[in-house]
Amino acid sequence: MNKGTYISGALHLIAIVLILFGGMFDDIDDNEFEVAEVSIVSSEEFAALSQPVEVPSPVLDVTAPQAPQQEPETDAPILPATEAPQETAEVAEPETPPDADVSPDLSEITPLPEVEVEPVVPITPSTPTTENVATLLPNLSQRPTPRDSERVAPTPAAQPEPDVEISDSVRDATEPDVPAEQVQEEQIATAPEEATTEIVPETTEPPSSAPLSSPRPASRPERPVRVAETTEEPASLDTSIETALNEANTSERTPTPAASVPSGPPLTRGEKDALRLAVGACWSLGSSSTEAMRTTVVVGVEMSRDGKPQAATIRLIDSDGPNDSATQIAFSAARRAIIRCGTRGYNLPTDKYDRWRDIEITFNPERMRTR
Amino acid sequence: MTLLKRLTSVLVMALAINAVAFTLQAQERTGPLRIEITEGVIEPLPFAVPDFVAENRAANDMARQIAEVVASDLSGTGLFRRIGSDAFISNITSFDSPVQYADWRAINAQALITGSVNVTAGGRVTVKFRLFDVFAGSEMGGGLQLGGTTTSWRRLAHKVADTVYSRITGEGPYFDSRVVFVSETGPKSDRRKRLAIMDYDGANPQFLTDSSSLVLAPRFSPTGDRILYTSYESGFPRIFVMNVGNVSRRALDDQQGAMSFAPRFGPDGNTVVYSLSTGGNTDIYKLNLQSGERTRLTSAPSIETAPSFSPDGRQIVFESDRSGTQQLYTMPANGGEPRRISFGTGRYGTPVWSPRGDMIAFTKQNQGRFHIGVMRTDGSEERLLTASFLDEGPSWSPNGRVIMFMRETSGAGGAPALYSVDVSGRNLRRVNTNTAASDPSWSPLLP
Repeated sequence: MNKGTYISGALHLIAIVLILFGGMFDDIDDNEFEVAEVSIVSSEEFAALSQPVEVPSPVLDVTAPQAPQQEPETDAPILPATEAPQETAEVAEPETPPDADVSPDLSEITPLPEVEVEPVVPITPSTPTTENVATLLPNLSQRPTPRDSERVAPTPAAQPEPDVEISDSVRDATEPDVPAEQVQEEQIATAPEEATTEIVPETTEPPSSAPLSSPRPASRPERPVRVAETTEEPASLDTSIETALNEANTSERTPTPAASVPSGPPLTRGEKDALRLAVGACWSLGSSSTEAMRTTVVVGVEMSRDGKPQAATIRLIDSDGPNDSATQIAFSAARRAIIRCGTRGYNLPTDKYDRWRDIEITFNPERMRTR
Repeated sequence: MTLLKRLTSVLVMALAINAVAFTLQAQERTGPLRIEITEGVIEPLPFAVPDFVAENRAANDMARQIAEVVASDLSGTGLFRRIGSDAFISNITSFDSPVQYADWRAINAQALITGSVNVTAGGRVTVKFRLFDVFAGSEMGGGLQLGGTTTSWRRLAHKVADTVYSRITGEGPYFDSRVVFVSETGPKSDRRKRLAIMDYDGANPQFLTDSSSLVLAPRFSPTGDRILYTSYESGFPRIFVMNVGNVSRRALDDQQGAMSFAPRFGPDGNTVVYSLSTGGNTDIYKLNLQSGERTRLTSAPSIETAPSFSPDGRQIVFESDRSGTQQLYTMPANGGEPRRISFGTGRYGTPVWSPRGDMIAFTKQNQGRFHIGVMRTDGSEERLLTASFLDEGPSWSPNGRVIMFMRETSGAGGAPALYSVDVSGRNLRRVNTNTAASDPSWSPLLP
């Protein structure tokens, strides 16, 4: 019994609190009724108002063709009919211009400005920065330039020599002079710690110490051939090293017959398709002439082992197009495609490098023309 | 015996197939990896045009403006996409400084245009520019230098853009050209029309006639120095030829009681083809401007009009309703048996031969819709490029890559405007004009 009383009391208490503070019935109090002024209309006036009014017909060109909702064209255009209106939807309607002046004002006519199209003067081209992608020699990295000191001191100090002890004063190193009679005490060179007078932000990235290019990797060594033991004297260690170095140097410069004949399993269809898709993703003909769109080019390229194309080796092998200009444009588009999508290296199996060291790609835009 | 022969043949064929297969396999084993790519992408080429370097203080504004016009020309083709200067890593502070290809490659700029401008006290402008293939790391063609006056700076910019456009796309140039058109003002019920001329991009508009009489269908001469047009100042349509330089004009083939209209120059600039309507019949005539000799090219009871020469001057395309509906025909330039080239549904009109000679642009009306389309000169490979309430009057750009035409909106407040579209059907865009405009005619490339 007490339990029911408590529950009843708690519920009543909650209800009272909600009424007082919760605003439960505020909406009812706040509702406002819209009040409209009305007037009494007689039956005669109502009948007069209900009479149909003759609306003046708008000025319409009835002969003008009406645009159908859809384009039921049988000989459908290449572009969908909806594309044109879509593109022009953002274009504002032409503003209604002011009335033209009736009298002619031919004084407005100004002669066409002359452009002296001088004989084309070739400008001596500047020497571009050397960026050979492929180089046979290693590009040794330069010693990085020192960064500005992060230490701030009232007096700036240059960077001390590596073996100099940090000190407040500058002191040259001395060495005992052998022929001198007076023995001078040996002392270590000192210099103040490197410092600058203000905090210098790092506005530019320090040049990377990584090599810009690397030598072309040597071809896979030829499989050792088991030979019959000879009775020759075994060569000394020095002779063997010298011989091996000579062989290595020779094999780098002149490819052995084994290097020109790829070994190992060929690329699978999937691996070829992946390469095809990767290059095709960057093969853009959007800025090519209509004649270049009808030109097929075969382009050769040598690849480095990391899957990157060697730009200097990209060459035109064959072409089928209406003229040389179109061929050149098609070749440029193909070359850009190979380089652009290969900047980080194509995903090719390293163990089959001999198979894709040299690649010939046929760029055939036949299916692109219909887009 | 016969069985033995057949077996032998089969054996030989099998051996041949095996030999071919073996050769291919051997080629694959020993030769380079060969793949064929048939799927690419169609996207505009990203390019960067830093402000041209001003070589003196007088060139400050012009250096920036010329770079803007060059960028606008290229972007307007739809074939190029400009990279904003806020993305630049490198700045071009000197025209002769080496290009940091890596910086431009990092922002995917495939082409880079650098330039400089010099303005002398005498008002002479010199513009130098270079074009670089960023990913190839080399210059595309040599640097060029153009000269002019301060009033011709826009033409200089167009010339720069033309060179860049041609080097990259392989197409002929067309930016340094003009368009003559009919400027329309006033309400639709009382439209006033004047001939006007402007740069191809809508800049520098100028009126050539007043609005006292109706004018129609202006057409440039092959050299761009004269304009043919039709005027109703006498109440009947008559053809006039105007000298663009001094706006002087004279009537052509003035015949009492005859109506002449739809004129167009021949490629030699000395011949005009047009329609002449006498006695209720309309036929096509040819007029020699020097001798005044007139030749009738068609003689049919139907309406023959809108003639247009092929660029080699050997043929003429025109529209005729001799088959019962309006269709396109070609005939020899001296007249002869016409050959119908349009066979699709709907009506065809206003044919214009491409400056390249390989295509014909036309207007097509079908089921209440108007289209601008192109077809081969024999009528094959018809493609419709646009569709709207009213598209009409195509005109080719000097390089035959772009078509300008008139599009009119429906309704009582509708007004015509000029639009351009790439021959591929892409990049439909409106041409800026100060007034409503119709009947565009593209000039040849300016000298």
